[in-house]
Amino acid sequence: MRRTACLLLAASAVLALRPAPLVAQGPARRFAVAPDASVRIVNLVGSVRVIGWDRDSLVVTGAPPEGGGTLLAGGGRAAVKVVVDAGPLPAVGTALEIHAPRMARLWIKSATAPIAVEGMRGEIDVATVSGQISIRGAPSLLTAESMDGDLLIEAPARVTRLKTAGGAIVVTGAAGDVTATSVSGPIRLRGSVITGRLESVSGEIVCNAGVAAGGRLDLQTHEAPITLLLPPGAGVTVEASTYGGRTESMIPGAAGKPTRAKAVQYVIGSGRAWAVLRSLKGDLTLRQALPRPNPSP
Amino acid sequence: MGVHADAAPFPTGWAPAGSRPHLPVTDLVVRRAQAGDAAAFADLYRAHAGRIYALCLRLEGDAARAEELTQDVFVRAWERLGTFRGGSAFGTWLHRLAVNVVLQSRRSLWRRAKRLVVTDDPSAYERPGDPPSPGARLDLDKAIAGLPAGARTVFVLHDVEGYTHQEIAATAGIAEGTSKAQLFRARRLLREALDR
Amino acid sequence: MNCAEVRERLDAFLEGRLDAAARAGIEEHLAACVECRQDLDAARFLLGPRAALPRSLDPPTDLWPRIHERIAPRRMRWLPLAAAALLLVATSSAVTLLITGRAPADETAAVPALEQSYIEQAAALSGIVERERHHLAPGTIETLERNLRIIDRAIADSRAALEADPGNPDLRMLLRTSHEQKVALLEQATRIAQEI
Repeated sequence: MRRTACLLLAASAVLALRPAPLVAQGPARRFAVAPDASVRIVNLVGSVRVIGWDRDSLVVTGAPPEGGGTLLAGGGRAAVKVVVDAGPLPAVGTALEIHAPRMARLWIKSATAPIAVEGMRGEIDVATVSGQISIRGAPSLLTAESMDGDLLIEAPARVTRLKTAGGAIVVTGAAGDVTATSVSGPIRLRGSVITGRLESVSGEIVCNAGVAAGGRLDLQTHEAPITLLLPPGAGVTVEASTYGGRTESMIPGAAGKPTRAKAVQYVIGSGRAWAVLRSLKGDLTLRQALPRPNPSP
Repeated sequence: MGVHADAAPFPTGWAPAGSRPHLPVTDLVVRRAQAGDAAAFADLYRAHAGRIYALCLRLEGDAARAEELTQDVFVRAWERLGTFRGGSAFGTWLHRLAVNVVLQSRRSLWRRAKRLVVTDDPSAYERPGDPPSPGARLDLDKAIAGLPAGARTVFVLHDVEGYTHQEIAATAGIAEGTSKAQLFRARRLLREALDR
Repeated sequence: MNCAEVRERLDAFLEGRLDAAARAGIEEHLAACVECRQDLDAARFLLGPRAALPRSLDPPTDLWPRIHERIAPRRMRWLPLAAAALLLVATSSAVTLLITGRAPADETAAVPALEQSYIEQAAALSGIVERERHHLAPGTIETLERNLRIIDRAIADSRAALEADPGNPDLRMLLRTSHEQKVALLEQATRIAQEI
């Protein structure tokens, strides 16, 4: 509970300020590229920051890593590669900052380097091992994966796929189709989706989302609690089944009806969207969300 | 491994299970199986299934469970084939693996929570069409199935399969003294069950 | 000699493997000790039946087909991590949602068959990760192992629950998801190990 609360605060702080701990230095290299160029970035240690802009050019700022290693940037109009090859992984890597056309297709890989992307509207594919990933903007397709690093997403992409083992996943302003899976990290999602699938083994799930009519939410854990908050006026049929935990609804007017074996069904409002909550041992809780200052359409 | 001799000769007219023509299991078959040849592994299965099933059946006292465990043993053997170095006979290696599979399956939380129901199903020990089996041999298997789990395990491993108390202690995670006590208890209980 | 010492040597005594002095010591004890006499009688009584036990028993059904399916399944069920196609079908009174491409519709498969292809995939991926282990930072290995342990525990719990309540579709789904998560995590580790 506390961890996700702290994380949400941390997420807002991180997203509000410049996320890069290091400032990119060195000469800027400029490339003329097509608006939907493919941009491939590899920087294992240090940091990566990508900012979308409205020019048809790519600008790379960053100094080669200390103690040897190279920073290579090159390509053509359709595709550019930026690769930091640091040799044996240094303690302090390169801080890379890249300005790219908004519709460029981004592919970024790091090991410990945190990755921050803002203002991009094309496809984004990001992977780290333990670096933190933060994405802000409205990409068309977002894929982000880490082993241990936290994923902080404020990006209503049409399709979002997020995966971590031990990191936390925090999504605000969700939209479209969202899939987020973790093993031990908590998952927190806020927004309004068409479909959402949040899965964790031992990480807590808190979902505060509207679901489009005809849409579906699947929330599943093995042993962690799941909390679903629904906005006032929501029309959702909720099926909750927990084998060893408790199911509780605090939404007024929605009486639980036992269906099969250990499942309980609640029909809220029009009931035209589906939410399925499933856990082996976790407690399932339904709550009514507070009205938001700017509700999503 | 065993102190006692192989099965005594049986009356003519019928033969015990497992006495069908013995398939030659050579190093070559094992090596082919290790290389991923499922057909070679099928030969190994045919050659050893009876022994493994007998072991599982006597340890568990339940035919359905024994079938499941026999499958598990061969699946695990397939997964672990790479670790068989050929130092001992394949059958010995497989046998040890089987004992581990059976004992491990008991340790799962769920199994402990379920009540172990021993099947009193004599058909587990007969094949259809066999004449009624004479006295003590069939009764002994039935009596073994009626033993409490700890005593049964030790009796089967020590007196039927020829493990030493030291080996049983290491495999089953019990003290040697416990193993010895269980053995003597098992023998007494069996004597009582059979001597009616 | 005391009872404990006699018990130690009882089997050897029965089999005639003791020297004259030791034999005499045991006989002297037995003359005076009812308990040990009973142990001896039980052991002696069982010698015959034990020797007559068949070492091998045929399983009632041929287990090979099931074993074969587990070690070399005819179809490997690779599942994409993200939900695939989404179909919306409006009917007159309700909106029906069909999600396709998410999982094989083999809801009636027995639990072992359900799991087996996942176990295969996980084993294959684990093999690769083991081989490429030196490419992974110690912190990554630790994270990987920690999370694998969490998933393995979840798999065991789900399997146990499903064994107790086999028809339950939610439990089936939970077990399947746990397996998918293990495969996905191992795929991720493989990618990291091979690409960095």
